[in-house]
Amino acid sequence: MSTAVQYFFITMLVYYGVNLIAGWALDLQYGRTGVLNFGFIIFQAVGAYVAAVVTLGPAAASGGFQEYVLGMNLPWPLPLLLGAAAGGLLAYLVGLFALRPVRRDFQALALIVVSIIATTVISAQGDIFNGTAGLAAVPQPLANELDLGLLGYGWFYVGLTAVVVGAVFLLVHRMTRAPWARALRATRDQPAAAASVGIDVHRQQMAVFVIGGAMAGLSGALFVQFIGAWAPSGWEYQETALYFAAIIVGGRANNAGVALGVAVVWTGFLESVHYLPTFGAVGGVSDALPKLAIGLLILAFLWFRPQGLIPERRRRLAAFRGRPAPSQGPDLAVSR
Amino acid sequence: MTELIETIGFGLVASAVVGLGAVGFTLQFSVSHVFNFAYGAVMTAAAYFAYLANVTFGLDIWIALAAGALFGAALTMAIEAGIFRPFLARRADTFTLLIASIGVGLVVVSVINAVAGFGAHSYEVNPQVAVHVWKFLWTPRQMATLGLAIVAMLALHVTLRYTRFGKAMRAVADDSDLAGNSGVNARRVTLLAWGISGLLCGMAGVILALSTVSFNTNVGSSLLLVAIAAAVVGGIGEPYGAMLGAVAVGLASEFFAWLVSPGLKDVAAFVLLVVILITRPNGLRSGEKMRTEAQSL
Repeated sequence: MSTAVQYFFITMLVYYGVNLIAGWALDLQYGRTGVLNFGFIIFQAVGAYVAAVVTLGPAAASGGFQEYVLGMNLPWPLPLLLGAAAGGLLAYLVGLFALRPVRRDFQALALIVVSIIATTVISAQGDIFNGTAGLAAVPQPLANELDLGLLGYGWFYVGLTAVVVGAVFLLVHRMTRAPWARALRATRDQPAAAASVGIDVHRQQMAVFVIGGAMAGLSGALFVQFIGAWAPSGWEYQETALYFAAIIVGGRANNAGVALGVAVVWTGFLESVHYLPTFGAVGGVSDALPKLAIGLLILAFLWFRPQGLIPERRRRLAAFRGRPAPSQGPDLAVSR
Repeated sequence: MTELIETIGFGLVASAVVGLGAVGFTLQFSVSHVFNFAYGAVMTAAAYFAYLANVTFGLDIWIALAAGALFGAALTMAIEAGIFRPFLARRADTFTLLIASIGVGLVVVSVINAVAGFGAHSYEVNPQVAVHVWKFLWTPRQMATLGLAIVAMLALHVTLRYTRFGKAMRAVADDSDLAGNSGVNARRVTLLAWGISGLLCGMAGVILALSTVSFNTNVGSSLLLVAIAAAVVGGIGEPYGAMLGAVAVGLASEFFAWLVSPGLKDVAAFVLLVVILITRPNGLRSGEKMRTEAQSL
């Protein structure tokens, strides 16, 4: 296989791993608990930024062409762990006010505002994370120690990603089979009823918000250490929609569905569209095509196949097996 | 002292633009009880349509503004009829509607990007000098903006209070089933209400694009956040609340720009929103209805 093809696969696989972790994070928040995290992308972004500034070294060092806070040289896997911690911490702080409204569409509103504010502030205040230009030249972990060459290191990073994805999967797998997952489902489908049997709805929402935020931060850290750069243009508020698309297409509240959805949305749609011949004005049709395709995909699936490609597993009490189960799913009451 | 008055003046102009956006946003919510996140995209679309009128066809900017506003109305009505109504008809839950609106927003912005590219655009207008009106410092265009917003708000007030259609709108907002049983064509009223809101949305988008040196497809999202903040601060679903919220947000952001940093103007709206969410999560003017409704969502 030629170098270019190999590198294509390396990139594809690393991207897939990163987006898979992020997809599971959002699925935990939205798919399983019904928290409409329309500001999801900022948690991935903070993880990436923190991982970057703890590996870039002091800002003034390399001629000071970038301005940013912190500036350390921490070894792997600390950047990943700090990225996850940053994501979780940010989620906690944001959740303190964004999850206060009882109505979940209000929460969504607050979260979308937070996302837009985040890009505004980071872009305007250049001394935090180097503003609109973003951070670059982020070193790749263990690159100097291993001395593998471009392809060799690439496959090494694929292995690294696989290990991290595996660890996250174990966590997600356990979490979603635990009795806790039932409380989350109740919170999602019938919050009033859940509250009446003693489930603290707000606490469950905060819990998945923080855990999901940490996972998103981890995915960002993993991402930035591979691509080496990160800027506000890469995490505009619309990027969250891509992750929602993955969950809607693949099927919410099931790990395999999310895995499939991420594959379809990223590898299927976004990457393949780049290989269409360029037409239209420079930066015109071809560059707008991926987002257009995603928007249409979201609408098509919501209309024709809202349960996704792999529907959520319907759970039946052992006593009722064989008999039709009482209807489950989102509340279809007539209320507005 | 002069700076204080001038800042208040700028704040009022900002409130005018935000108000148009916020009232439009809250109107949609009042009749359909759903947040339309494609609202920002429609603002952008109107701004670009006005660009088409102004630069490509050489029309006067105020005619272009009218064209943009009308386009905003048409697009909004198309979204209501083509997306929201079909989904609502099959009893889709709120999650679906919200994510669908995000999808629509993506599609609209992508189409604009496909046609107009990703670069910055500017209207063809003469640069203007600010003049002193009493102690305020405004350009003629800013004064026109203020005037336009006041006229629009008055027109809306008159419509809501004194016309049959306004009454029908309030009825549908309050209880669409009951309104339907009382002989109101809820579908038509909803569509027209969205049309009015689209008109306001279009105006807001064009004026915002007009007030900056150049704009790109992100123009809608910057105003969207401030409009949402204003609408929530004033109590979502309440047009008069949205006007109040807009004044609060507009003044706060100009004071923030004056005292802290001009680049972080939007942060003021954000801070206000956070304060409201912590103290009164359901808005300033929301009442009993909002609290009882909250449990079922």
